[in-house]
Amino acid sequence: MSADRLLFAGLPAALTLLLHGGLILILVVRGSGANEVVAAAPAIQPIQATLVQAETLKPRPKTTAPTPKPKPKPEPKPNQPAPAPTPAIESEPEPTEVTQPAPAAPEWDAEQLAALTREELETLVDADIMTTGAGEPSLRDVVAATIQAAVINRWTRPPSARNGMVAVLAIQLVPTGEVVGVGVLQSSGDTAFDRSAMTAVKRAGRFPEVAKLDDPAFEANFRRFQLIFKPEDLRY
Amino acid sequence: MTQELGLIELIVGASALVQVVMLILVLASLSSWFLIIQRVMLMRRADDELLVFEEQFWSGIDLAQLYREGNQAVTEGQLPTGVESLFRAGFKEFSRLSQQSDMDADAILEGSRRAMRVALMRETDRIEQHLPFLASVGSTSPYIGLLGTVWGIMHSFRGLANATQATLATVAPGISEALIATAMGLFAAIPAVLAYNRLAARSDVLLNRYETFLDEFSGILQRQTYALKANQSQRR
Repeated sequence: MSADRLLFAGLPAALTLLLHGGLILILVVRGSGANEVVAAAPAIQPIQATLVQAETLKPRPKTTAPTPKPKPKPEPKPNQPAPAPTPAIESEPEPTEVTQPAPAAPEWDAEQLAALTREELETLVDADIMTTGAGEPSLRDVVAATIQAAVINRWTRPPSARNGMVAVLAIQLVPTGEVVGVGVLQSSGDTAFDRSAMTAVKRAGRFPEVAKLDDPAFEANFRRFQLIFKPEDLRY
Repeated sequence: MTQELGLIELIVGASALVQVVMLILVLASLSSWFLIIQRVMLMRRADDELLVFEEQFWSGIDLAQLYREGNQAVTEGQLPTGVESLFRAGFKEFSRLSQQSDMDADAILEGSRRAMRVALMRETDRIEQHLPFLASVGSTSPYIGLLGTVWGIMHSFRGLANATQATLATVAPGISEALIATAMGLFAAIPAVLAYNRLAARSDVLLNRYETFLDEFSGILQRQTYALKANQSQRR
């Protein structure tokens, strides 16, 4: 009888423990395997909508590239009332910044992330300006960074966007900061992508910071400049 | 994101209520599997015993001798189970009642049938014991798991409300950890429901066969009773 009881209590207990233990083991082992796959996924890079000054490219303005909608308006218009004078970085939800955890960083909360991205943007602009070697770096730096941030905030990438696409837009400003012309200087090959970039610039509409610049600086840098759009933060 | 999201880290990092829910579900799963294995073993043994005993019973052996064989086992401390306990209860009552000369045939038959009914009830209890537990594990553990999940998701969304930057990375671990509770609930519930249905059907079949045996045996007893009483009245 006691042997019987042992059989009817011990065997099921042993089998039960074996089953659960095995299952947990499998899950843990499999889970760690899956983690490796996740870790091996391509590190997401911050967006690189780099601002390039047009001074070097001025000799060959818009004739070099296929321009679907060039809109060349070289004559500065008088002051237009700005439709949406909201140039600041915090004005809209920022899809670009939130999707970019910097690689090799262990733990981020969202604000740190945003701050980091902003820093990165500024250093990027800094580097750009160093290479172009223009005059007053500080004010130009600030203006370029604001323009960049304003455009990035309003940029919605179409689903057809792929890594490796590059669209170069030619942008013309008047001294008040109004955008008077946007054209595609170099198409990415995907019209939806080009259009999304143009829409982002048009939505920005006006960059009031430009008005702070004095005339020579404006003429040299922002009368006509280029924006390069790369969807580098996309995962596919 | 190179952050490790192992199963264990998720469970350890879960909130207290979710952990309690998980603990309850693990216990439910353990005990239900224990019962499933034990019940299946018991059921199988009862089937085997029934087959063996029926073979012995219909082999033409003297019933008094069969009873005496059982006696030996009882004195060794092994209580009769299954259909043998039915037989022993009925036969014991029959022989006891037929010793008394003033009993008439119907009363003897009624007495032994009642004794067998009692034994059948006891067997029913023994076979269907713990089956309601399986049924309640099967029906409630998904809800318990769901409670844990809803709580965990509530928690992670409340955490999201404090952050200004809503990233997928801030909610995803919380939701993933919360969903573990549902998975565990389903893991506990599915085998319990399946086993409950199967075991209930099998115990029905087994009890039906016991009942059939009861009727067959009372047929034999009836024949013997009337033969006995006819002898007694002749002798008188």
